[in-house]
Amino acid sequence: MKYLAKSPIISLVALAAVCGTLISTLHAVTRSTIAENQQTYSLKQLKAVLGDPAENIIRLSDELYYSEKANRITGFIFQQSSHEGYNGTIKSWIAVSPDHVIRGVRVFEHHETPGIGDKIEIGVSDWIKLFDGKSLTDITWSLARDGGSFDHFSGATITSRALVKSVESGLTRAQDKAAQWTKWAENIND
Amino acid sequence: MTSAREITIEGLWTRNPAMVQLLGLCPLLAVSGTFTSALGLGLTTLVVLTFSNLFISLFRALLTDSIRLPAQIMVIASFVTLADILLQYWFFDLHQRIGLFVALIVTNCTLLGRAESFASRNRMGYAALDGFMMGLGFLLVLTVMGAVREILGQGTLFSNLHLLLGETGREFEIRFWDSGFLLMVLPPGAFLTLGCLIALKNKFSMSLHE
Repeated sequence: MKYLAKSPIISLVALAAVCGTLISTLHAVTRSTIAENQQTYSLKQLKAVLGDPAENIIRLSDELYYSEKANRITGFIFQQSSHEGYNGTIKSWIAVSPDHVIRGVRVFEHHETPGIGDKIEIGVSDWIKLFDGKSLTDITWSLARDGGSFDHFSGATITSRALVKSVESGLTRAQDKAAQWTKWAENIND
Repeated sequence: MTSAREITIEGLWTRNPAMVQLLGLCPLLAVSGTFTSALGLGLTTLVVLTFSNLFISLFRALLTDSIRLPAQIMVIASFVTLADILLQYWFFDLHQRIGLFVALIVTNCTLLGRAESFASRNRMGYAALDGFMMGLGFLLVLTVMGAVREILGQGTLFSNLHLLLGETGREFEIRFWDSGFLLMVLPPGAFLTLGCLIALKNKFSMSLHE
């Protein structure tokens, strides 16, 4: 100890090594449980997006699930991210029905300003429900102030705009991939 | 020489980090919207503060002047990371809600302040006790603010407690009235509540001295 105190760099490095070891050990021990927690949490959120407890949600990949009821596909739930948020990536789950109508959208990861931009979370405000029942054809996909159909929430135009754009491109993607996804889901069923 | 009794009184009352030193305002204002998030972040801060104090005191012989501050920040940041991992391990849902602020514990000046002014100069037992009492003082103020703001702002108390306690926590929710006073949920409500608490504390302290 006495010797180390004479060379501060070595003691700083030693301390960093101790801290690093602590963190990496704990990370290694908890990693799998945390991943499980994340999975459970996501599934719970997916159920909430659908709003129908009778439907089964089945995994196709980490970012794509489909729902079925009485052996019929009732829709897809997929992950969509936007990089146009106010502060980094906004990730959401989007549930669409087979005829490309939005059943629900839930943001599950974002770094928007707490108290302002976080109104995209269902726990904070109902704004996200504006997307329910919308499809690509029946409305203009932009904010009302840009001449579109969505009201933004005050103080967070950028956040609202990012989300509208993100849901629109998600919906386009779902429409493009519909055939492919359906085939995939049917194959898994067999 | 400091005694355990003095450390306790200082942390909880005379040098309370939230009401007297006015440190850690960022988390104090940001997560005091509901009782549950206040309790969650308060407990996390308390644990991190206790262990970072203990750890810094343990290595205080190594921490010469030139590296003291970076070393302290590193220790604090490490313990915050550990706490963050453990929160995800045990209380994933709560972490989704307050996770953003957990990282901000690093910037809570209470931690660096105690590390610098107390832990790096005192024995481990005292350092840990100081961290615990300062953390408890912070936790108490945070939860009182959380309760007041939740009652006035949302009309409920102990809502979402299941995030901490599991499903039984749901039964604790008390509903006073249906709509709340929005201002109390917003940041100004936090300042108003904190201001009132400080005023009450000062009034009480003064009447003790008379």
